[in-house]
Amino acid sequence: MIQVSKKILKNGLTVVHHLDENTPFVVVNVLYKVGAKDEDPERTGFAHLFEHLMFEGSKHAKSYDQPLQEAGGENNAFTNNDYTNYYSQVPANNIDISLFLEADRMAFLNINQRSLNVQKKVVVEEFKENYINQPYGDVWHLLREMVYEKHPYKWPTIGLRTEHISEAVLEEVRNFFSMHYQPQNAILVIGGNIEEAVAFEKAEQYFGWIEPQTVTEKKEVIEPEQTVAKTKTVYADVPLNGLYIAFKSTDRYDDDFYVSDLISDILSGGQSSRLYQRLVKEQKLFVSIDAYISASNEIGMFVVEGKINEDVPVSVAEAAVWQEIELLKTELTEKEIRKTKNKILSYLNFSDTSIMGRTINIAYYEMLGDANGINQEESKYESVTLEKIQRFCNKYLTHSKSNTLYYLRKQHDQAN
Amino acid sequence: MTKLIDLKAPPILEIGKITLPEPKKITLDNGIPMFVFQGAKNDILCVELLFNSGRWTEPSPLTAGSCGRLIKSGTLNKSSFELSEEIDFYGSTIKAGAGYNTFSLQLFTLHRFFNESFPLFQECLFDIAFPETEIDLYKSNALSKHRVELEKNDYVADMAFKKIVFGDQHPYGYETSEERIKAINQTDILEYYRKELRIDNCAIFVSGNVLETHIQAINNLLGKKDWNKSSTGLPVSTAPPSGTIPQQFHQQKKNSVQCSIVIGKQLFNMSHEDYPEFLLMNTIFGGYFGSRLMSNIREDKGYTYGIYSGLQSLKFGGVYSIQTETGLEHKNDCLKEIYTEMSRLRESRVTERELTLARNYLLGKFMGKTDGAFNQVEQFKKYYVEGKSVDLFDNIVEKVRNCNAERIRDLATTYLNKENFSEIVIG
Repeated sequence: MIQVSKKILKNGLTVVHHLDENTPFVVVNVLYKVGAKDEDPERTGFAHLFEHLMFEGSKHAKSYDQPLQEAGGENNAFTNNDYTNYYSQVPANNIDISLFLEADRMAFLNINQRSLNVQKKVVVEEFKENYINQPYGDVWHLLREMVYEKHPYKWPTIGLRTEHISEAVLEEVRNFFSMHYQPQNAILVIGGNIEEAVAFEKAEQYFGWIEPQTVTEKKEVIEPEQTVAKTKTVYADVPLNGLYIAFKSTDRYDDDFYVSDLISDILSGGQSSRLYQRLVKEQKLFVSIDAYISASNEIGMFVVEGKINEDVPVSVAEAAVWQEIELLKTELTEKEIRKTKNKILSYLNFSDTSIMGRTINIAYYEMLGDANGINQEESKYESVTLEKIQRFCNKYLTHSKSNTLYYLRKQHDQAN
Repeated sequence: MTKLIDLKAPPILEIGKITLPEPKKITLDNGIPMFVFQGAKNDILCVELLFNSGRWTEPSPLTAGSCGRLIKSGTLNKSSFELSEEIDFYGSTIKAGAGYNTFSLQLFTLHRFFNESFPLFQECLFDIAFPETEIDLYKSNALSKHRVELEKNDYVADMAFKKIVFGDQHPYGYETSEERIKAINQTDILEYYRKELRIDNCAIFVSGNVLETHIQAINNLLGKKDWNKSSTGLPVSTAPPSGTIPQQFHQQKKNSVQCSIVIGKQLFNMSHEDYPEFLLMNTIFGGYFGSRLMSNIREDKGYTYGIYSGLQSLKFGGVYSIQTETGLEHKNDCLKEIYTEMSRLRESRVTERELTLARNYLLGKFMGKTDGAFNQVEQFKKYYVEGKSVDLFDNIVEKVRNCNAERIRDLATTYLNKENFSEIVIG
């Protein structure tokens, strides 16, 4: 049981506290409810570029990193389609430094042309490093575009093209900041070796005076239901043919989310899982295979991906995956479900051992609606039944709702 | 509108005492030392058997690693599937892996499944048969994955670097090649398994929420006098490390938009007297986000997403390197700036402010290594493997606290000279 307590400041900032007396650290996590899904389709990758700019200093702190490091701390941040998360860990006696730096950049971020120019270049290098100069690096660009017709999940966090990043101008940065980086759009979690009363008092002291500006209401996007299977084929300089089959899935708030996660583990969690046992080991069709969910707030994705063995025709490998998906609907035992639940249970218990990981997780659950949700995961997975699994498979994992990407090895006569 | 308020930066307080606690030591009936690291909120447990083995003592290249990867490949009575199915059923994880000088076998389990999981763990230690069919499949998949890895510049660069620095026959340096993967065989793996996973070669580390019943069970199951394994080990590698002469290795790769850079050389391990202060010097140079390399090459010039340098302490020696990925159009500028930063650190003293910043950052990192049972065990093992006590950790911390700017410059003068470094560029 992870103890959390919560308070909302007058300016709308949600503050959550979690005590751990056994660590010498305090972790400060600030989550802003803005991600790639809030971007202009002509400026994709902007939320992530903005994350970089948050480290360029603020009015009363020329640098964000330096004082924090001088206090013995470390920090980082990440952006995804739904939210942007900043976290820092400092020795407990230096908690004030961390709160001061977070409050100052929430209120007075230093936005300037020079920083923007440099960070645009850095992000373009990041884009190249992870998405261009890697075998299969653009898979997510291709898959998202197939799976989503309207929803802004159709582009990845890094952005659609490097031009979207390099063309960003200062005015857009300012607007983005005032539209999204407001206290009522943020969650502050203070976790670690600090008493509850002290944590709330300091939160009030550093953040309480920030007056909020209006945050633009988010428009809801209606994503049409898919009725016809889609396929796409690309050729690239890759050593093995890749097969990706993706389906739209449920949102993170639905009980079916837990069903979908359990299914992905039945398929590929551990060495005894179905896809690994049958398609890699017994039939030797794939070199590696994996099933997973994207765990987005809204319409998620359920993906099966594999690298096909050199001498196996793609169609044979694909048929085998479909056979496994069909078998889920007809052949599933209580014992297999129990096994998968035990694995998840173990994962949940081992995953929150560090104070940093735990604090980041608490912020995530608070974003979903309630920090205490972190304590309810076990029972939600436990409530998954065989019937629910089969219902999910019949509803979501059908051929007409599939998106298949063939990522194929360029043959010599196709090479340039 | 935001109210105008004059926020003041709070004072930075000194980082208090940092010490790595001694674990509780128990000796099993057969003499195996067992170290217990107590502390976890949840009812979880990790048992690790660490053998003084690894690449350093393997009959042929890649054998130790393959033995680890195939640790659940089946016994005489149980297929690989049956074994994995049982382990998975209890939600437990069994992992094995070889390092340069270690071979590790780990069990992660919940309390409630300890009694069922531990015998399976024991089977992995005593009864694995390494069937030919499993080895063949492992090899064929390893070969395919290797071909995918070869498409990644950083993988190729790192492999080329280790080969240049230690030589292709040396356990720290040899390349993973198609020929070597194809040569993996059952005889060698079995020989390694029988001769290297021995009582007199083993230490046990237990961490998490450890109960007395767990300790007793471990002693009952692993403390018996005879493990029925070979009584002697394999000969240790005799290949001398090459690489005293720095080399340049540049390889272009079709369709690359970036190249991978590794600049490095052989150096020392944590037993060396310069080690603690070298860590601090390296922090300033390229060891953290605020380092000179990062500030100049990423934050000022935008040539890269990241650039880091680090010293890897090995049981016999060490290796120091600077690594980055940069756009092809920035390659020459990036290389030039790396060497410029080396000479800057040699030629002028760092300011007190920069020194304090890096020192405190490093002290915070040290503090992190003492935070909780799982961090402590990881740290303790590093010292244990190199035959050192935890006192060395405390000494390193003290030396870092007391290091001055003069000393940083001296170390840079001794260790950061372009002509001693090999340079690898792939892409």
